[in-house]
Amino acid sequence: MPPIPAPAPLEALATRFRTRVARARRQLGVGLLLLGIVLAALLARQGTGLTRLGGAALLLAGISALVYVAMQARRTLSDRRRLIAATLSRAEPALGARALRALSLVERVGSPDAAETTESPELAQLHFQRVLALAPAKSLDAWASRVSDRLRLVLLLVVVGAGTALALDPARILEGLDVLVARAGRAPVPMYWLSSLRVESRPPAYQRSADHALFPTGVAHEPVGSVITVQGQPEREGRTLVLVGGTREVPFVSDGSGGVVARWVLSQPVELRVAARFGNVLITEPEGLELRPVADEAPQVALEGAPRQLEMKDMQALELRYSVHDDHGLREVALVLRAGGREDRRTLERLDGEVKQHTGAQALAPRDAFLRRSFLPVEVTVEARDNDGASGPKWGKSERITLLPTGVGEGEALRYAALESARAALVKGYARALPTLEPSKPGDPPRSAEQLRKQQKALVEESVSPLRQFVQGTFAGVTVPKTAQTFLIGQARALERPAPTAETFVRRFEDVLLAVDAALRAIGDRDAQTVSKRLGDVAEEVADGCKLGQDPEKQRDAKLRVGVAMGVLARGAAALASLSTLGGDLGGVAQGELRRIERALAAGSFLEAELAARHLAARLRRPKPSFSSADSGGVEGGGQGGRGGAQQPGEASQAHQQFQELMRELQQLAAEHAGEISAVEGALESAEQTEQDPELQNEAKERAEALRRALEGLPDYGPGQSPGEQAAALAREHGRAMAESLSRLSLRDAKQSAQSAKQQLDGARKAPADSSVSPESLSRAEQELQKQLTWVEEQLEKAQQAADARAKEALERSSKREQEMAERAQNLSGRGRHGEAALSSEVAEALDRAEGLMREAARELQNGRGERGLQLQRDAQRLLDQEEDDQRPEPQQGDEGEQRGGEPGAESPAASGKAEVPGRDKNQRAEEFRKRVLQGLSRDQGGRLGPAVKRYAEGLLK
Amino acid sequence: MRRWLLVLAALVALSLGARAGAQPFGERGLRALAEAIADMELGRAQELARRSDAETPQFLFQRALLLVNLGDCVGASAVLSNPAVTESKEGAQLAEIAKSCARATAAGFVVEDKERGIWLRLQDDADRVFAPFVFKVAAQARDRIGAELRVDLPRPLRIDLVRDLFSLSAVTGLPLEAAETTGTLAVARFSRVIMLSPRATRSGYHWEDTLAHELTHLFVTRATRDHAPLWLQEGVAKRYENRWREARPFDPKDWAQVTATRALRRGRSIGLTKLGPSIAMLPTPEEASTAYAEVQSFVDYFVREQGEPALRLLFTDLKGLASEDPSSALRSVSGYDLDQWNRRWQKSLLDAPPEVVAPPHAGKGGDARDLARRARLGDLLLDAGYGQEAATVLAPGEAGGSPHYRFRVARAELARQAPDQAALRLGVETEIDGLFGPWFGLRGRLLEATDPAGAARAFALGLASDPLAEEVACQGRFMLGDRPDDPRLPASPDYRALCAGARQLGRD
Repeated sequence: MPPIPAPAPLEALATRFRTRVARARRQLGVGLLLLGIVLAALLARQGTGLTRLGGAALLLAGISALVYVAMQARRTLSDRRRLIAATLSRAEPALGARALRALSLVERVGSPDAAETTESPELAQLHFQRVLALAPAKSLDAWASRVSDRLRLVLLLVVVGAGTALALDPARILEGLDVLVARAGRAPVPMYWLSSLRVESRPPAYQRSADHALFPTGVAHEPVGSVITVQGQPEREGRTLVLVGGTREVPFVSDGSGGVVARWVLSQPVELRVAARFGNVLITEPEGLELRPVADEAPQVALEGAPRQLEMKDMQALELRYSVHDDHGLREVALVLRAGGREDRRTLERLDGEVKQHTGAQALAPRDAFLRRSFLPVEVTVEARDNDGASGPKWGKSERITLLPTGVGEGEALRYAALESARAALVKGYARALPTLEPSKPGDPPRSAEQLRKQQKALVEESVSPLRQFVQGTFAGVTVPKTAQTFLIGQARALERPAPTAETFVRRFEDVLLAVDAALRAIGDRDAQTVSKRLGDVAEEVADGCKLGQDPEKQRDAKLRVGVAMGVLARGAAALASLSTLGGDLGGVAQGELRRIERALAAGSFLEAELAARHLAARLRRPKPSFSSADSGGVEGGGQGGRGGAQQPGEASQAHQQFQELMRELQQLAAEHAGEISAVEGALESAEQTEQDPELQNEAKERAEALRRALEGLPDYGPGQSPGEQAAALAREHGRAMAESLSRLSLRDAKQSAQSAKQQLDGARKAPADSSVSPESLSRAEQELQKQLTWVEEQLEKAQQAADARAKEALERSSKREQEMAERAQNLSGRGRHGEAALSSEVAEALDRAEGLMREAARELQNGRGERGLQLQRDAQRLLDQEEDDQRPEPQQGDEGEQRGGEPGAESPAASGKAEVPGRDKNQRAEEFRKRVLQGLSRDQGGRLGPAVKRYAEGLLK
Repeated sequence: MRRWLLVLAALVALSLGARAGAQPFGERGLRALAEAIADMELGRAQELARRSDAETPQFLFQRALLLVNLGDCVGASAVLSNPAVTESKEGAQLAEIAKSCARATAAGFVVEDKERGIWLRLQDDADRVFAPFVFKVAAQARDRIGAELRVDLPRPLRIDLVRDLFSLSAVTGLPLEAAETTGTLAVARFSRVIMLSPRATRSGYHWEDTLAHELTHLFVTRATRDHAPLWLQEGVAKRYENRWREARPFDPKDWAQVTATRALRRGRSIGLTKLGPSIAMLPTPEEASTAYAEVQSFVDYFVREQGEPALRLLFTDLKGLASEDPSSALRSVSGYDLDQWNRRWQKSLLDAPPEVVAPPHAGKGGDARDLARRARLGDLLLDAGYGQEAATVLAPGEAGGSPHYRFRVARAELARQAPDQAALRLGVETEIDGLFGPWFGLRGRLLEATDPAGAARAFALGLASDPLAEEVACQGRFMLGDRPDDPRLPASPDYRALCAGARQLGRD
């Protein structure tokens, strides 16, 4: 059914509603929306989540009100029933009700069910129009005016309220709305907060650069640690302004002159923006300053020749030349040595922080304590520290030079193997010598004695040659100790002596072979102890690595560390195992324990590996045999108690022990003899210290005065003198010294001065004739000097005789002791020549000479000639000391406590003059100091104790 | 209602049961655990310990002790890292032992003979070649001594074979200096035998009897719940250390009696009650030897007077002994206390006929120095492969009863392919004055063709004395220079492995 057009009265109602009521309502809706926006902005500006939610709700409410009003009007206008209810029923309720009834009739007639009724749609429509037409226009207009007036009044209130809020601080509304729609704490619409913006940068003080201004926007590169100052005038009061960069923000504070200021320390790339904080929300300025920090670079260190690897056994000295550069300044240059977990950092230079470039050199000697104790590869670097005061000092390091140390025990094992080879040559020679004992078979041509000697000589040469080579050899940096050298050379010479018979020859061969065998075992056992202790350190390193591995985050490093140390340990254990019986025992223990550590590592248990390695370290540091008691067990059952334990054979050769005993006795003899010299010196010194004779003293004073008078004719020493005058002047000086000594009764000094004066007088006499000194003066002085010298010598002779007489008893006692010591020296020499332990011929001869001197000294002492005896004693002592020095073993590699901290580069042949190697001059200074001390201590001690003082001083300085 | 009451009762019972299961360790529980450990019932002790999660110092101590007894020193060390346990003196001592033991035994090489019930842990896995012989001897000694004492040992029997005295000290807690002074070879402690590897000594030791000696200690410990006084422990151990096997040459027959009598007469007696904490801790090996002789002599006397059953009764009495004085157990078993027994025993010693000095050995030994020279020269020549020359050098030496020298001469003769001469120079058992493994090795080799039983016996004697001597392990074969004098290897795979191990050891 087509829609029925609205009758005219209904249209009038709609027009009245649209133009009067709906419009007023719409205006109010707009007003409410405005109010909602203002309130929402003010609430949301607080910036918290809750207030922003409230603001959003208010804004939504305003919009809803407007939408509601519009929708309501549309619905009312499109629905006749609503329209009548909203208009006519409000203005004329009775008529409204009738109109609605009439409308119901129209609708009923027009419905699909209407066919069953008999009512006419036209009639119903007519009825409806007539009812509407009854509505008085005046009444309707009055009602419409009333409604719109009321609505406008409300609208006025709303507009006034919103307008007031806006008028007070319109920016607050914009800020509020910005905050309202913020996301992730940042408002979407940027705003300007500061005017007259100034940005300045102050670089870190250590860079000594001036402050400078920056553009407030754009990109700037500034050093790390620079302080960026942002200053400006706030656009609006009451805002919390901050300087924002990344996640950090710095509040602006008053600068005291109406502006605000904020300071930012630059540490990383950042875009700085000024912003205002509203609760949790920031409203930033539209543009910022992007700052890119310029980092202070670590120093660059160049080390000549790095990277490279060096075998320490081939190294004489390592010269390290380096150059260092930094962009701002250098503070320190250091030499750093690293091996496994150990590090040694040695400062080479301390700089003032302003130097940007530095070069230098340093020598590293193989005797360096760190290197000597290192069993792992040592990384050598030169490192430099800059002066970065902002982010902290930084170290730059050079490429590394890796020093590969000689394997632990490698040298000792090589040395042992070489001596074993030498012994094998002796065994071979001995095996070939044995048949000479057999009686010649019938038919064999008879051999002459000469043939036999030649044959023996050839055999000895062949057998001894490896031994001689061994003595001179160096084995991975390890030499043969002097004691062993002496012993072995002695053995070689003993074998080289012609033997009268074949039996003697073979017997001597046996002695030498067994002596070398004993020495081999002794050296091996001693080396085994040394190597074992050093291997203990390696095992400790393995343990430390395993401990590190128990931290899952450090397992990679730990595996590397353990791997390197295990390699060293395995090689060291093999070397140890090759050293004699003790070495075999200890090496076997080490190898077994190594397998235990490997089992633990294979099972992934760093803990167990550490435990096993610690056990091994402790064991190796106690280098005793595995079972160091009775040969095959004592107690706890099964021991030999009461059982037929077979007796082991004793030592085959005592040669090495005898040799050691000889050396000990020799040292003891030298020490005792030195003591005896001191005793004689003391006796003579105390004999000289007698009471002064007053008459003699007076006479001496008179003689001194006479001498002074005789010297008066000679000139005083002064500049511009001719040689003759100078000599005469010096003679006068010495003469005065003699006179002074005479008056003090220091007769020895007086004699010495007299001799010096005589020499000068001779010089003066022989000088060219340009001298102003008269020959008479010279002669007078000479005569007087000679006269007094004669008297002094007489007195000295008398004093000497008196002293000898006084010292006689003490000297006789010393003589007896000297005699005994001479016999001991003879005994030592004899044992060294004829026993199994042969001394080298030099040592034996020196001992013989010392013995002769000691016997002579004993005779002189016996006869009361103390001075002469003392002199002979000193000569003998020099020989004894020389022997002792010869026998003193050389410091061995790895021996702790010696050669500690040898100055880098000192005594280093390779430390050539190319670089200024510190250390050398120190040693020179030390040597000069030593000489000065020696001179100082010995110069003015003219008495008998002078040599003793010198020896004492030398002992001190040694 | 009745049903609900039943459910409630069941719940209460369950709850109580659960509590009882979780907390068995009151005084009684702790004592039960300690007794289980002392009885070497380690399985039961583990069960008891597993039931509790108590953390009292006493319980933790017992748990650590149990772990040490089980040989797990690493675990024990972890338990003892709790400072509450180490506050007590015992805890601190055990912690020290556990720590050093953990270091010595961590990642040890374990070999087990399940059939015989023997667990052997080797510190040095190179000793594995020795394991089959240890298993055999340990099982035999355990069975024989156990049968005689009528005590059984729980299985597995645990043995730790350590590489050196340092490790022996670490595992047992025996001070190293004491072990070195007296030459301790093995210790029975913590329910197991801790024994030195024969490779530790230069020429082996009587490891079989040592093992038997220590096993006897375990028997006595178990039989008495570790209440046996030291004199009893050591006396019984000495008595039984060689009773598990057939008699051997050089077994000391009256050694204990003679030595104890001599010490008593010369005023050098140590005394049963003055042994200190251990014979191994006496100041000198001589005193230790006297102490062993005295305790063995005393126990022999006791058994002679009272019989074996009295000894077993004494063990039983001691097991239940509450007081610390074992003398009362002795009195209850025999009617005499320790002092009275001591006086009786000393009287019997003094009443014994005077010591008969053994007749001088057949054969006169040469100059010892000369023999030593020749022996060393012979060794050097033989090591370099000069067999003929070695024989020449050794031949003039008058060996007398020295098996060392006889062995060297015979070896040199063998090296120059003169077996008859070798047999002649080696001699027979009656011509030598002691047990020397290599001598028996060569003896076995020389008897192989004519007297296999005699050869086997000789090899066994060598093995008992010095198993890692080349001539023992390789059944009489030896290296001549860089090649074996006889390329044949022992038929037995165990001996072959032992031979390879001995040659690797390379004794000088």
